[in-house]
Amino acid sequence: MSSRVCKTARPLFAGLALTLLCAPTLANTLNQNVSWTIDRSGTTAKYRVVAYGDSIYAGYNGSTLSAAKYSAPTVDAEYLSALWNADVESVRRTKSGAVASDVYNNKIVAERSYMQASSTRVVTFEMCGNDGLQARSSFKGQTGTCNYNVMATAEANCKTYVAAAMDYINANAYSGTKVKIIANLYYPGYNADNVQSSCNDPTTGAKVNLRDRFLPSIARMNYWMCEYARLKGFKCVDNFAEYMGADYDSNGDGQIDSQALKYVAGESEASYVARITGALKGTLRDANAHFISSSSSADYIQSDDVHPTYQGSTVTAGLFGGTTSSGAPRYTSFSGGKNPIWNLYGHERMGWLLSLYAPASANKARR
Amino acid sequence: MTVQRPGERPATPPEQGGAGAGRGYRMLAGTLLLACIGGVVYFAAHEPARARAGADGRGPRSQQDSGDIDASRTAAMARQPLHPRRAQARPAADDLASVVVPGTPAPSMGEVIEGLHRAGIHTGLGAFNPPGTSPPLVGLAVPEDYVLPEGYVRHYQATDDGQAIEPILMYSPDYQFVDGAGQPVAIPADRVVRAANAPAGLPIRQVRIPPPQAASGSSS
Repeated sequence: MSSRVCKTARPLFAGLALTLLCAPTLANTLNQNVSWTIDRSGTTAKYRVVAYGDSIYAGYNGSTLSAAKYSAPTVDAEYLSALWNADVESVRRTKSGAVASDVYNNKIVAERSYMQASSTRVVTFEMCGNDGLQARSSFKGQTGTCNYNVMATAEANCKTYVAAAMDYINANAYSGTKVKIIANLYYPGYNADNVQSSCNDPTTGAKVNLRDRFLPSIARMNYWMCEYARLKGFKCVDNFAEYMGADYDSNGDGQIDSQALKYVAGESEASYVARITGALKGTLRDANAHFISSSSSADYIQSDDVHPTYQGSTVTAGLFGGTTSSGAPRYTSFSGGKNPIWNLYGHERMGWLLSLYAPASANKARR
Repeated sequence: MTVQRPGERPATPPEQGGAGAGRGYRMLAGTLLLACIGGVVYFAAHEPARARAGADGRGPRSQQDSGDIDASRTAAMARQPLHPRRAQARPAADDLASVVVPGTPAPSMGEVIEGLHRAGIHTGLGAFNPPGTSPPLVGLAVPEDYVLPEGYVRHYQATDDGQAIEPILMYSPDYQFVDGAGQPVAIPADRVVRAANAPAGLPIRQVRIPPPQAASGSSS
């Protein structure tokens, strides 16, 4: 097996893989930092949107060298640039593969200087996706009796570091920051997980459906992201609802699916999880086909079945460093607060959601 | 019974691949050893510098630090003029960039993920699926001005490098389809409409997935 790896891999890859095994610390993450300024014509004022996170905000695109230029925070910056008639710098401090503790310690805390700049108006972060992915990988690999603790650990870590991140941002972001936002998790691989486990439930002895096990975990993590946001002065972008639910009423309950799935401020964890895993579960659909109407759908997920799709070009971000640059906006005005592609790509959807919490002016507090 | 003396190589049982495989394993072991040594040397050489830098790689660049570095080199570089150069930010030890040798081709993410998986690592980037796990669907093109019959869907997709793919025709999950006799017709699992089942009036043409474009780098 090992010799086959060495025969088939490229020389560097072989060296890389072997070094990975020997390195004192496992090299399994990738910093992908980008600063992209939306350079609006005829403006001089410049404000900043700071985004901390993992591969989602990074604009990961399956490359070790580049990332999407218009990942969600930069899409948001483009909206803000038009709204404020100003240049807006999208600062993305991200680490692909990072778990919540890593995002907290090595991006939010260690790189706090980015949100302390006096031009900062928006601070946003996302985390926990890799805690979930790792728990899923671990669980999928289990044989014998199922150990559900891997998911419980992911949930506990997520709650701990989401709360800590909000507290830290509240204490350290520039005092003139107008809005702070967390973005929660969609469920990547919703269809692929609709299979039986290799392990057996400790009580029944039967195989379990992977999706049925993971969905409540994701729901609990998402609940606490939005609930902590409510309690700690953040806004919550509900990616789960907006990716997983159709933008029409598919079950005839009188509600648009994606709206019905949203976290309701003040509801209990039990209520939220019951809605997601019970009454509304039938409206959940894999984001590979997000229904923007009853006759149109858009693939929000890249070919890895994990990361959001995006529109346009890429920027250097990865093994050989990041990008600090600027460019003209793709769109300079937004009819109804939406660009023409707001619902056709995963990052466009997320960026539009972020923009919904934009203060009308960069110099006035949001009411 | 075979006795192995100290310093003597153990015989390779035939069922484990014979002499050729034995050579392969020895070469692999040697390569592993060299890689380990290289890794240890690399990290031994770079950990102090990394420790001096901030956790974000933008650590203090005070005069005091510069003095420490210069002092450590003074003995070996006596009478040689020193040309200060700003220290490069070192990637964190858990960053893939810390194990890539400058000047060599970068591995693709698919190779990285495959390597991690083969090493039994399913954390970090190892928890990602490789690109191509769920590739874009290929189906019949649906022109924007084509009026969709009831029960059909116009599906939009994109490539991993951000290129839009012409929308394709799919079956709606909200409908059941029947034949002329009213009997249910099985829909493909991927819900992509095949040319033989295309609705009337739709020009038959398969979409083409755009080929990857060169990375656009840091320019606009």
